[in-house]
Amino acid sequence: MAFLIRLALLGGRSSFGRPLGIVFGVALGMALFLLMLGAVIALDHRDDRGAWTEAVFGYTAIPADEVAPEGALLVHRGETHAAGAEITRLVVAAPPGAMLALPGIAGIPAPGSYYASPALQRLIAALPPDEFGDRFGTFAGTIGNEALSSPDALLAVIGGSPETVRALPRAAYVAMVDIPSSSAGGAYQIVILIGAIGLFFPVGLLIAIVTKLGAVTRIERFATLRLIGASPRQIAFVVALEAFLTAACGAVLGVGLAAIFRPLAARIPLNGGSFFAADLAVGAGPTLLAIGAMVVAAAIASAIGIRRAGISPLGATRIIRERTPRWWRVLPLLTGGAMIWYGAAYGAELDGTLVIGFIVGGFALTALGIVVVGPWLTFHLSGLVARRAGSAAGLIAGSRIRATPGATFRSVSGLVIAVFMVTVFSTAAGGVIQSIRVNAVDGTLPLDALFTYVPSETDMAAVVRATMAVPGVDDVIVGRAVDARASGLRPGSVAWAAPDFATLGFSTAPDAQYATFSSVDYLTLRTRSVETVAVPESAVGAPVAIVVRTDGTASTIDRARTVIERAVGFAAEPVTRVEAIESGVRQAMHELALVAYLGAFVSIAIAGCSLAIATASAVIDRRRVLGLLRLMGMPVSHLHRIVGFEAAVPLIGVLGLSIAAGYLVAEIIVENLAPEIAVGWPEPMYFVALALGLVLALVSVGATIGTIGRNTAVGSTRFE
Amino acid sequence: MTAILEARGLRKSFDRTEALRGVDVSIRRGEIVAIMGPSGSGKSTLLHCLAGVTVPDAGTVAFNGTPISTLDETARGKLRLTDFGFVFQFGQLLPELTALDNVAVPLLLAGERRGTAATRASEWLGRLGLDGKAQRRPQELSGGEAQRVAIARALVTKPAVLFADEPTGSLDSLAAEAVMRIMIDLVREAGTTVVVVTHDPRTAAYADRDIIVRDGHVSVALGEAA
Repeated sequence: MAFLIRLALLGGRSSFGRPLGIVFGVALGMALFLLMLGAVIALDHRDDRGAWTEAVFGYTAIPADEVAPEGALLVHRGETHAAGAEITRLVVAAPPGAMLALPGIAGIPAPGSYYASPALQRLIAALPPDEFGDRFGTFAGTIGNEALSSPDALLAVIGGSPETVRALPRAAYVAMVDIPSSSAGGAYQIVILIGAIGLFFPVGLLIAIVTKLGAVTRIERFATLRLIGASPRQIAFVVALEAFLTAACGAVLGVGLAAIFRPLAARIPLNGGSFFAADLAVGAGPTLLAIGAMVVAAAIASAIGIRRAGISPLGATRIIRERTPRWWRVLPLLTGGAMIWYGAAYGAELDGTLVIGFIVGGFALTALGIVVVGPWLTFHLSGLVARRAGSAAGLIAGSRIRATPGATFRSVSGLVIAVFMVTVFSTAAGGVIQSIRVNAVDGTLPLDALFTYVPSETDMAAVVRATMAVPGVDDVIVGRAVDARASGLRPGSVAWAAPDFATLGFSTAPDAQYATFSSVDYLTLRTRSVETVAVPESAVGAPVAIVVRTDGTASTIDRARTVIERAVGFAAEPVTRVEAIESGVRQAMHELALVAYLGAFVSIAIAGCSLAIATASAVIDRRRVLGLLRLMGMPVSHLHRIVGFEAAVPLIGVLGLSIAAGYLVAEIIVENLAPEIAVGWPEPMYFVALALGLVLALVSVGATIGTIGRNTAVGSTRFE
Repeated sequence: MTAILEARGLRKSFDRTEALRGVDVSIRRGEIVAIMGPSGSGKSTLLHCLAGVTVPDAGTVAFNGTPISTLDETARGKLRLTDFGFVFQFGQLLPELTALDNVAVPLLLAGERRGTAATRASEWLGRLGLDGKAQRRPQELSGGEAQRVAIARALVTKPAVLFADEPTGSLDSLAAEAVMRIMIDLVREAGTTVVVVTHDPRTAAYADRDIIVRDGHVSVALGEAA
């Protein structure tokens, strides 16, 4: 066996290129896998580190109007905004006997001073003083990274007196901050884990294709081995061993690449922020397991690849004729589509688990169905091309694809799945993002307006005066408490004077001196307006809310917000409708979209490499035939066209199939499950990712095509 | 008769092996010439030099009085497409194409429309007795049939010179006989010049003249003077 291995592996210029291809593919796959696995683990680390800021909502918190537990701090958690970003502010006070220490800071800040995260300090430093001002008081120090979920975390810990904090709405006593995280990143973890495992397939495909190329270039060597008695199994073992060893080198290189690119990968925002580079580190155990899985997968893929090459003892690769793909291949795709449609359309009448089963199962079956139907479509599409071709290049390329639809499709099958999934997600996400876009609609709060509740004891005249003095503020109006018992209206309703309804965004004023809204969703409504309801004058009480109309610029909005917060205190949380509605959902969708686009880009790039290697293999495999065409007088440019055509037809054809299927599936799901959302075009980034990946793939193929001239030179090809 | 192909002082080496060591050959229009000689004597190299496939290290090759050994690959490719045809031992058909499409390829390369190319290819398959085989692929044809498709492909563009390298080398004697007879009939009818490399005296017997190559030299020219 040692002799077989030496004979099979040594010698020839290609003996360097082939292992390099495997090393490159495995290293890339391993690096991406480790980074993705790191992200899965890091999401948990991050949730755990940031969990303490939510202790005030946890089950251990005691409402501030009850008896203080021993050693507890008084904490109020609220939000403010600056430059469109949401800032978490924890107002803390240490009542007598408070013992609890907060992570990341040296001590509880004195009233009027605050600790800030590094990102918040940078944001404050970047804003003009009057836009942020000293909303939080005097800077006392930096919150350490060990207490931050992410380097982007905008967090302030502000000192207050026990009296002021206790008076804030939703303030609570917190006796412990070591609470479990809410694991909000679960969905991300599942998506990334699926993506990480999915990476094995394009890498495996790459290895199989590289192996096939190696078999083609070493055909005489393997034929000799077969001739002297080596069995196909022994040849497969030799090649698998070669792949095992080279993949091991690639895997180790991949571990190094992952370490090098970790700081860069850490900058990708997920679930509300980027990562600390150390968060993405993967322990020795999982790394060794991943290396083991990768090298075993490489050995199996190469053994399959060499068997497919069909080496015979006579020195020629057997022509393994593919069976003509049959019509039944459309059935899984149609069944998957039908399952999704049924689950989505009749979801209301079915059990929830059944609906998820139909949709998820249908989705998986559709993805599988695309792979199954691919060769059938490739066969018919190439047949059409071959019949209609008016040039030798078109005829030869179309006929070649028609003869090997399975092998042709296989080189781009990884791409099909990636593009399908990303299209489904991106189309659905595009619809959701469009649907949450806040528009100016009659009967909803205008987009340039700030709204906040204020404590009833606030000196509203002073607040209005100060706010009106801010340049760019056009109007300030005050809402008043409504006595629910006297009016029969819903508790918490706010009454507004009839002339102020124009400022509130209504084109017509109510037919009463005071009126309120028919819905509590006034602030969050996006496309539907609320109606007005008259409030008896006798039920109208003290000012409890304020609306500020501005010129709509971010700086005016932030200046007005600063003035209100300084005048009212931490009970005020002035927000615009855009900030209240859009930020969280849009950010989440954009982050998921970013992951999807990165995934699409990487998949297309890996598929492009596979395609390029498959193209190289096809050129070397047919160098005599292509050389003969040159001998017959075909210019090299025609040969380029043939091979380019053979690569481009499946690539572009399957992209079309994946995009169409993905769009259709997204349409079915969204139209039936959320009819109010209109499915539109995916985001521009989707097209950028597709175009970049496609360009990279075509450049790889183009580079391979450049070798045709050398491989088919008529003087160096033997025809006799 | 004037020489259609003329080689003077041809020399060609592959690494340290001298395949041709100063060869002079003259072939007349419409002549059928067999190049014979032992293995490794330089027969195929001579054919490749005459056909503009290989550029000689020294000496000249002229086609219709025009030197071709100094042309670049693009010009020689154009010449091969328009004036030369080729037949090899194993046919070298494109495995994915039908017999009809294989024959049509040179016409498409020459810029013919697909329909016209298919009609002409079909005519040539008929002349070679392959009427019912037009839609068969090479692997569905017998060796003799595949070789006849290769001949049809070589002749469909009506070349001035047909170069054949062991055209019957892969066939049994009956099939070889049939292939040679039909090829010779067709080239005689068209007045095509043929240069055929062969080991087989029965194939060489169809030639007007034999050129014997030995150790890179033309040692004997049987028939009319070279």
